[in-house]
Amino acid sequence: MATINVQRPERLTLAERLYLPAILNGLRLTWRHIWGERVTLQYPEEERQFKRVYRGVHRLNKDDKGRVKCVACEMCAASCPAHCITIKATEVEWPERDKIPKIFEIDELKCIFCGYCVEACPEDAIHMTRHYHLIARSREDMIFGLDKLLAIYDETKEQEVLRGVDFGMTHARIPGKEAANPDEVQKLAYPVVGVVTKAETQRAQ
Amino acid sequence: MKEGFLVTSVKDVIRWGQKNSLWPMSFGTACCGIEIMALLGPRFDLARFGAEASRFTPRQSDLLIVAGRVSIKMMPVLQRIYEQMPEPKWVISMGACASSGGVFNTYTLVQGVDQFIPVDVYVPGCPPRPEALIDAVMEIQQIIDQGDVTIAQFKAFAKTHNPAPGQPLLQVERGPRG
Repeated sequence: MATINVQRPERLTLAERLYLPAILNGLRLTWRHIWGERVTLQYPEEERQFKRVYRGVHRLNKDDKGRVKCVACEMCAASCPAHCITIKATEVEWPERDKIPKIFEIDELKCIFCGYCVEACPEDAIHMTRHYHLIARSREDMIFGLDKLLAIYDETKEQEVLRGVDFGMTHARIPGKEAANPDEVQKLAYPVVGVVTKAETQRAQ
Repeated sequence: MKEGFLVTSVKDVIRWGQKNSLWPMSFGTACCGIEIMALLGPRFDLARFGAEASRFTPRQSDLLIVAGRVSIKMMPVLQRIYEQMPEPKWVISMGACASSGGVFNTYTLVQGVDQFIPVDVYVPGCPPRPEALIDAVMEIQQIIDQGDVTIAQFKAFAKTHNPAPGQPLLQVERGPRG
């Protein structure tokens, strides 16, 4: 039988029995932290700034004529691991394409924000924005259709967001930014953007 | 005299109290639970909304946060927890798995907990950011503000707790091995 004999102290010392030194020690630590750096993000007033490649809610891009850029090839729906994209195509007689989506729905509640749809899109028609303030009181509210996804584009038109080229996709067309070799693609994709909060920016100023 | 004339302000006071001291019961079964930990921590600090008293006992809480995937075998447990919570109570369905099953479209997984318990606010994301969950808590506060704390919730309670005869509360098809 292997027995371990533990030596226990006979009695607590007077200081230990009083508990007061330990309490004061704890209070000292609390006191020190009161004057230390404040880490709490005062969320509704203060927001965190993300890198450009943050994967938030999707948007459907528009072309230079203001029409939906999507050609309803269903590559995004095929690559989606959660099967949250539904596309119904309709035929059009435009010079540059034959079909556009009649219905384009993303079930944001099913979506896991992996970004595979952005990677798969050959037309660079779907992007992911940095917008993450999504809540709903019903499941139907979270099914985003064409109108909503295009409205998100109108809102975030100015922002630099996650694009197909961020995955090293050389075939994705980016107007005005043609990358010749993979290194250049990487440079286009990952400009140095730090993660700073608004408060930190203010403090720096 | 109109009904409830004498206690109109009392209702407001009750609402104010409920709104600013939500006690969450976090049912964290997966990675969303980690985000709840971040939410309760100093960085996001749910205590600013009076909802930091996470007791992990349903009898003392009024906000159920379902975070993570719930299997069919786990669903009766969640339902029991929901029933053990005293009225009034609210439910947040957090993340893709709890809200709709997410990527896990399998026979073992509940495709959205709202098939079995009433959900007030859905938060998409995999997992959602703690900020999004703060948004959801603020939405719950709005729901409390708008809702009738007494009568409507009592009716809802009666509806969920008294199913029609022969209708079990939880309808799960079970295989031969349970």
